[in-house]
Amino acid sequence: MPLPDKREFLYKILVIGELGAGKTSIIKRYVHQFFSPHYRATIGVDFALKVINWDQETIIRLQLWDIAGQERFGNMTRVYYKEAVGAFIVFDVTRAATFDAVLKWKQDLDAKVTLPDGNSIPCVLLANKCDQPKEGIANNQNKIDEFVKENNFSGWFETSAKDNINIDDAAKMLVQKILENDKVQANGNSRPTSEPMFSLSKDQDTKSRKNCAC
Amino acid sequence: MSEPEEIAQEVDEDAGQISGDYQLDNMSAFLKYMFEWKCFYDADYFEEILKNSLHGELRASSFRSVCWQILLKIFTYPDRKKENIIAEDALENVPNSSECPEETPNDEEQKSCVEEWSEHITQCRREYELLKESLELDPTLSLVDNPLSQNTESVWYKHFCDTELKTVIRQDVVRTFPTLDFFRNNEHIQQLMVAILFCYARKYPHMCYRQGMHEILAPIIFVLHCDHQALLHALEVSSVDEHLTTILNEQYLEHDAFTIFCKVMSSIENYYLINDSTPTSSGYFPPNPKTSLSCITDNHVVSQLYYINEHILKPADPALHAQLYNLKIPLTLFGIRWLRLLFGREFSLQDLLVLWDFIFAESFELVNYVVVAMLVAIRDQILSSDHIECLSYLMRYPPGIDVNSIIEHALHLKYPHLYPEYEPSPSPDPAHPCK
Repeated sequence: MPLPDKREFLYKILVIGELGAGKTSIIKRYVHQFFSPHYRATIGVDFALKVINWDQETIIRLQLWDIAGQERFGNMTRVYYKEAVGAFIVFDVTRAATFDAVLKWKQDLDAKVTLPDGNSIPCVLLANKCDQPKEGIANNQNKIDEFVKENNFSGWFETSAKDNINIDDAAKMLVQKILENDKVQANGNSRPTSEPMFSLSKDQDTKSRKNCAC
Repeated sequence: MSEPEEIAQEVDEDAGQISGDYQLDNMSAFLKYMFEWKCFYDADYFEEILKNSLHGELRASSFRSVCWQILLKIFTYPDRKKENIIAEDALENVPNSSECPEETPNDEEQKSCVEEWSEHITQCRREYELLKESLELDPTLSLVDNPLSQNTESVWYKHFCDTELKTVIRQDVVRTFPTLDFFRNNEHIQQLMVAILFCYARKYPHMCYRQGMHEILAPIIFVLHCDHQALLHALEVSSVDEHLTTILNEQYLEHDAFTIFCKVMSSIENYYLINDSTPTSSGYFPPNPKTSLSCITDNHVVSQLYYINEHILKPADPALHAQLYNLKIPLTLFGIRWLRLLFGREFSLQDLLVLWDFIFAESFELVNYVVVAMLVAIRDQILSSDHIECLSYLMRYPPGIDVNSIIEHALHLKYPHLYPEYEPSPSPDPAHPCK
């Protein structure tokens, strides 16, 4: 439990992109500081938790939702995206086709989840597997800069889950954006900043225990 | 029950050259092996297979792939009365001791079914060969075509689509059961899986390849492989009858896995369908699917999970249903994976095979009851969890849950009158005399 004067936030973050782009590997690297080339393909959705001591007063719990590459095609993403406040879109620099799909993921995301004020949720683009030879646009940083600006990404990073490059920095940027949004939302709605975006109420917990028939 | 001498006598007819040079344990393993094989010749054995499958007792079988082909109706016995078995089994409640043939039955009848199977499997293998051949394109042989052609009938165009689809498939195949060397470091098996999934995608274009199918295929290959190995061990001791070597032939691992895979997929393809969108021939879905206009519940798998939640879970365990509702955890979050992989990530491979024995034996409708039994098996954890803990339990189903009790509970949920005595932790089943 956090100290009484500590603020605690819980944020749901999506990790999306084409199949085999390395979404699961990025999450495992970020959460467990570990890489293996042998993760199973994600089917449907998976999730992981990461706790960050953001600063002296703030603890942030990230719920990272790892969504299978093929799931964009069903309406299921609507269920998976629910209540998300940030996203990573991942592509594989060694396969140009995975970059071509980035925009489709972004559109799917913006169509299905928004902030309470109607704005799109912050989204950071990850050019993953940067330890390997690149193909296509991944070779041209200026072009990616342009693409990111044009399509309303918060920013982009070259990452490698294998060599642990830039993943923490990318997460920091996304969380920063989320915190900023949270402040704006809170001011707008006159909600105290110390309240998490959505809370897992303890009342609910005890109430359901009473329901238990055992 | 047959005495060892009687078994030996039966076996002796086939294994004429037993000389006593072999080690005793090898011999007794061989005799056991041949005794089990002989059982298949008797049509009554079907009831035994069914019973064993329903109670997690195919675990020790050396012929699980044959049993699966029987249960999936690839191999058939004349005149089965499957429906009665479940009822009988439950009502008797006492292990039946006389299901195995004690003596060699009438020759003509006995040969016919196994012989038919070996003819049928040969036919299936030939069909697969033909399918595979028909899909092998060599665009360089085409005189009228060129690689830049965008005509969808162009050989070159098809060739590029094929290559792309195989890349998509391979990406998942190399990640199959990464903790098992049999899959992980086995280029031969991986190539074989790509070939099967590719042929399936082309034979059933509305299905094409979808993520997860590779993990339906993998256990099938594994079971066939184990049976092939058991036969090879037996052959080290002595020769066996020709139908056995026809039916379990290592060389046709790919062919037979394809046949079984197609059969399983035909029962679970609904779990994979996404509204009415069909992937392109290179394994991708259309860029702008019409699905955005349609409702989520148009998805079969989603409505099935809704049905399970409202019509099986709710009456069976209202408190559990209420808890999931209060925590806002829809079954779809984890259930889609449970169904698409037929619980492949929730159990160890050995336990998974036992669960599949059970599902194949009865009907795929049992899957619904397995989902509920699995939820009830961890109800204490779910009821005492908050949102995140609960999601963690469901997304990473706790290891070590007894698969046999899941099976017993699922049977009870489906047939409460026939299987009234489900207890959360059942005592071990009395040994079946026929094992």
